[in-house]
Amino acid sequence: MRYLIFVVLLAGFFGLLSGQFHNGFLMVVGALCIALIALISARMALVDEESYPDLGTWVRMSLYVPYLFWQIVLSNWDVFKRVWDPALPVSPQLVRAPFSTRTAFGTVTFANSITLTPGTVTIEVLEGEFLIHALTTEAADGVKDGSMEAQVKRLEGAIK
Amino acid sequence: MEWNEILTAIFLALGVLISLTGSLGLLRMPDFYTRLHTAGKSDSLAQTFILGGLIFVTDNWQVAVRLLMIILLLFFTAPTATHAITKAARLDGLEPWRRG
Repeated sequence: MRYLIFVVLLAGFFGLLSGQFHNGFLMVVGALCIALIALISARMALVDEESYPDLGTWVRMSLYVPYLFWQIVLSNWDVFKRVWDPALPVSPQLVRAPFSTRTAFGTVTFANSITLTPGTVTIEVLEGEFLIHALTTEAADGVKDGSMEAQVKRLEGAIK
Repeated sequence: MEWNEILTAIFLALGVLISLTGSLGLLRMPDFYTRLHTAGKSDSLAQTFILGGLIFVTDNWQVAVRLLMIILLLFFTAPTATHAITKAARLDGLEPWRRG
């Protein structure tokens, strides 16, 4: 079943990028490439439940992305104000923020989300906590208040 | 101007403004880590506005889909690149600047 989705996705990707549906030669070459890629991926065992999650994860993902985008807009606005402020009100600091995501997917999403929102960069993933460089005290507190973690955990849902 | 051209102009202007802020931050910030904050990440929103704004003036749905795919790709790669650079600096022993 996963391989069926995999092949459909590859075909859709090829179709979108080439767009040459009238060109028979390109379509045949595309089909051959997809077959070859599927074969190699199967041998390397790349298509597992993590890279091809169930439908529920996709639904939760589409709910998470708008939330993340809004966080990015909010924190961009904050950095925007500080950069143009003549006094440059920043107080950079290193903070450690614990995380309790259960899956690699959740941890990576959490770390990337922290980096995407301006004001905080994930430097290192340690045992059970992130090492974060924060531009301001407010940004540091924002990471530690746990609201983003709650969102990521909702995204993780029931992945086993 | 058509309504879609006006929309594109607004999006591009926002993207340019955010890019400019990123560049200014790069000049004003005190050290390597803080510069990455403004440089690496104002980009994530700026590229969304610039590429997203262009979608309104495409005459071909395939081009629009490709633009969306580029936006999504950058959303995954940009933070990973920022993280890699920051971690390299940390491993090299660069200490973050502190006020005072």
